[in-house]
Order: sequence, then C-alpha cells, then structure tokens
Amino acid sequence: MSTLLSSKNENLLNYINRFLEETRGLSLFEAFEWIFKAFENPIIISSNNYFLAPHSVLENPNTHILRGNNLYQLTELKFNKVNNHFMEHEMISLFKMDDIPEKGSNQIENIPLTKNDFAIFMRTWIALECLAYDKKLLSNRYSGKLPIIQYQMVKGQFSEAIIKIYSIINNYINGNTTLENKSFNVFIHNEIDDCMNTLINLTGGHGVLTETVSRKIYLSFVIKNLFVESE
Amino acid sequence: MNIEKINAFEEAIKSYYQEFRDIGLIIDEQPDRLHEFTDLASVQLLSRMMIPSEYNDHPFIINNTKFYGLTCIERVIGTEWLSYGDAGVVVGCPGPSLSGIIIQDFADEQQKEQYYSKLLSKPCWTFFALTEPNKGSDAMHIETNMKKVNACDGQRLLNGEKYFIGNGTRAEIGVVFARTTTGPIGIEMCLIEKDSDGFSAEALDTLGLRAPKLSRLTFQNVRINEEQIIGRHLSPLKRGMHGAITVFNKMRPTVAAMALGVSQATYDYMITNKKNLSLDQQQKLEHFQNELITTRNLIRQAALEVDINPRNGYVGSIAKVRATSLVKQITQYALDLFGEGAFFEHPYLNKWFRDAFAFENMEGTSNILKLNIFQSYMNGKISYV
Repeated sequence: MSTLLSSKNENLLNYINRFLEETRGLSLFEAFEWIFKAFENPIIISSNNYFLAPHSVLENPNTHILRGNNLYQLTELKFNKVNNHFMEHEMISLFKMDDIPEKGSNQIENIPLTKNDFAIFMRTWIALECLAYDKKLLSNRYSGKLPIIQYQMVKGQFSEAIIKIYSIINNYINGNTTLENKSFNVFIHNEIDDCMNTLINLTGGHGVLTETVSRKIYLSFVIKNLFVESE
Repeated sequence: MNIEKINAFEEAIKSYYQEFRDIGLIIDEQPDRLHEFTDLASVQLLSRMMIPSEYNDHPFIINNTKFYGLTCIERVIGTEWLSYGDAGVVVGCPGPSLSGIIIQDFADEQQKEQYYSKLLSKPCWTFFALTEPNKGSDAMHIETNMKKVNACDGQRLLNGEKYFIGNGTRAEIGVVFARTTTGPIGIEMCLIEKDSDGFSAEALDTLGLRAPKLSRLTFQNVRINEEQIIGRHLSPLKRGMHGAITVFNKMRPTVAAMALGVSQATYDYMITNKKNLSLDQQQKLEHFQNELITTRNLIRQAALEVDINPRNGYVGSIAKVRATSLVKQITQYALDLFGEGAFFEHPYLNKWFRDAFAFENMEGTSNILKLNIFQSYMNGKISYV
C-alpha cells in the first residue's frame, strides 16, 4: 500500500502490511501468535490489568509482557486465568494480573507495538475474516434464483462494511492522526463496532453459531473492552 | 381486555422476574440444568401460558381475572418482564411457545388433545420447525418435503432438515413445516412426537441465548399419517403458509418484547451500578431512556393491532426492527461505560451482550422486516403515513 500522508515509521507500516497479508485465512490463535512472535523474543501486549495469550506463546519461557513501556518477564508478574468458554475454544486464554510492579525489569523507549496498535490490528483482522466468511456464505445461499449476496439490500450493507474497513485501515496507515488521540481512537473502534454488527446481521442465524463468526466477533468486542479506553 | 386488567397483570408479573435473573447465568453456562428449575413458580407460570381454558385448570389469576396468555398484549407484557429477568430462560422454558399458536389456531380437537395433554402431564418442551439451513425462515422456499407413500391412503414420508430450532433436543412434540407440492398451497404443517422413527435432533453451540439449545432436526422417511396434518379440516389457503405468516405476525411483538426486556435490564443495571456519570454519559442514558419508551409504545401498539387482526403485521415489524437495534446498542454501550474488564467483572453485561445478537434472527431478520414495512407502505396499509 503506498502512503501519502503517514508519519508512521516504516517498520510499523511494513509490519502491518505483512500481518494483513500473511495471516489471511489463518485461525485467531495463529493470528495472535504471528503478532507476538514477530519480535526477537515473544512479546504479549497487555492492557492495564489483563492480557490475552495463545497457549503456545505463554509456554515459551522467553515470553515477555509489554504494559505501557514496561517490559516484564513472566516470572515478575502474578496473574490468574479468567474462565471463558468462547475464547478457550479458540485456544486463547485471558489472564488478569494482580499486584503489578510499577516498573518492569526493562523499560522500552521505542515501543514496537502499543496496545492501541494491537487492538486495531486484531479487530481489523477479525473484520476482514468475517467479511470473507460473509462473502462465502451469502454467495452460496440462494433466495429464488439469485445468490443472497446479489440482492440490492445485501449488497448495500456489504459495501457499508467494506467502506468502514477500508476507512479504518486508511486512517491507520495513511492518516496523520495518532491513535494516542483518545477521541480518535474511540471513533475508530466505534466504526469497527458498526462493521461487526453489520457483518453478523448479514449472516442470519449462522452468525450466532460459535463454529462460524460469532466467537471472533465476541473476541473483537472483548479486545475493545480491554484495550480501548472509553471516553 | 380493559386497561385496568392489563395494568394489574403487568404489576403482578413483574414480581416473577427475579427467579429468572437468579438462574439465568447458571443456565447460560449449563443449559441442561434447566430441568432442575422446572418447579420454580415463574417457570410454571410461563409453561402454562398459551394453554387455552378448556385444557388449563391453572391460569394466572389476578383479582379474579384469569389470564391464559392467549392474547398478544398479555404475551408482550409477560415476556418483557420475564426477559428483564432472563430472556434465555424465557425461550428455554417448557410450554407451548410458537407451536402453541399453530395448535390454537389450526389444529383439530384430536390434535389439541394430543398436544395439550402432554403439556399438562409434566414439564414438557415443544418445538416449531420451519427454518432450514439453506433457506432460513423463507417458508415459500423450504426444501423439507412430505410425499405420499401411495395414492390410496393418506400416509406420507417426511424428509429434510431443520435448523436453529429452539428446544429441539428436549422437546417431546412439535410442529414441522414441509412441502407436499409446488407453490404456496403446497406447504403443510404436521404434528410430530420425538420418538417417531427417523427423527433425530442435535444441539448447536451458540454465542447467546443458550438456554433453548438451538438444534438441528433431521427427518429421514418419518411416516406421517393423515391425522398428523394440521389444519386438514381447513381450506389449503387457510393453513400451511398461512400458518407460518400468522405465527410470525403474532409472535414478532413478543420477540421485540424480549429484546426490550434485556434493554431495560441493561439500562437499570447501568443506572444502579455506575456512579459519577459524566455529562456525556448522562445524556447518553437519557437518550436510551427515550428509546426504551418509544420501543415499548411500539411493541404494545403492535400487540393490540395483532389482537384485532393477525394480518396487521407491519407494526410488529417496525417494533422488532427498533427493539433489536436498541438491544445491541445499549448492551454494547454498557460495556464501554464500565470500561476495562467489564466483560468479565460484570457477568450479566457479558450475557446480555451475547444474547442481544440472537433476537435479530427470530421471526424475521431486520432486512426482511424492512422489506415488509416498505411493502406495507406501498400498499397503503401503514396508518398515519
């Protein structure tokens, strides 16, 4: 993707482009792994009090937790697993941290990925996966002689989702406004919410089955709740 | 029914919500445990609703008035408040539910006896099997078929698959829609018991509204006798497809009332548990309060319209589109309002968020209902507009 306006560093742009290209069609668990394993040692991005981790990353003794600009070794932190049926099915566990030391053993000046970046990455990825699922489902279901995706009302809503996703990615990659601007960050995530609501509606009853898109959509809202500070 | 009686009914039924709230999270996690709670007064009350007086010795009695839940206005009020407790439990409860409308309006005396006697003997679940994996709830295009074995007797073989059927795995009896020939009058309804040879049910895992254990039903050469065909004493134009439309028109306001109950529960939860609201947050909550009022007014008007004439479906469509939109907005906003960790530190908010997605697909998606609203306008049916 060519950039006209961005002041973001090239490494990050390269990173998101690779992420969106290389993780297409992978499972949630694999997409998480890709993000965390892209660094020299695996780094899990945490919110203030929680982190989400695929099982495999947590089993690696070199894994670190990045909270703000503090980097913690796993042994420095106390954390408890939060039971959750839906995410466990995706082999992703949620942990709540307790008595977090104010400073980690390392502080990082150039954070490779902020929690805001992480939230946008994952939620955009989930939206793209749901869009692909909707396309496949609605192209193969018929009402009368036409595939459902060819009905004008459906095409309109499908395009709304595409417009939102494109705008989100464009804002992130080509835009100058930083996600550290809270209002802008919340705005982007509200756009993603709209997109997710449209995409799940388009799937009809299939969308509420956990084996289709609903677990991904659930996780998308969980990520927002944990990583995006509301206004 | 006059307004005083309706108000008395509403006041009385409000007191039952707490039992549903108390068991809602348990059933959400382990839907099979619903069997443990069938003795609760609230569950018993709901399971007797929609059983007519000829078969029901235990109606809900308020000030000497007997309520059987046979009118839409009773159902929307009752459902709203019980869903305020827990919508999943409402849909998962034993009792007639959707198939009850078919039996009440289209069954003959023998079929009514067969159906209601099961419901009265013990807690008994029922199912309503119209929706299919490839066709959704588009009754005109269903693929499940019921063909005659031979031309001489009335026996038929039922083959096909139904999807997203509430209580399918635990139901003892229910109604199945199938095609006997092409065209709209080729749709028929039949009454089926769970032990019929060739009938099987499998539970599906869902994100929300987990209590009814949505199911996939499969029919492989299930023998259907003439006596099982519902509405056979009626003209083909007044059964089958007409049955599907009638049920949806009569029950759509009830689904809207479920969504409203969850929305009101979420609103009250926010008001009770969130202190020190900012000005923006107060304004947002005021907005939701106005949405709740608007939606409730629409649902009740829809119920009254349907009670006058079941063909008056468009108000129910308007009410349901608003209610399903509201429930998603308010449950998602509540998670934002409580901030980081609300999903896990406020289990009701987590449940209500998940449940909110389910209403969209019951008794017509918003897209289908919008087409219905548009058509009603074009036909000059919509009052005031």
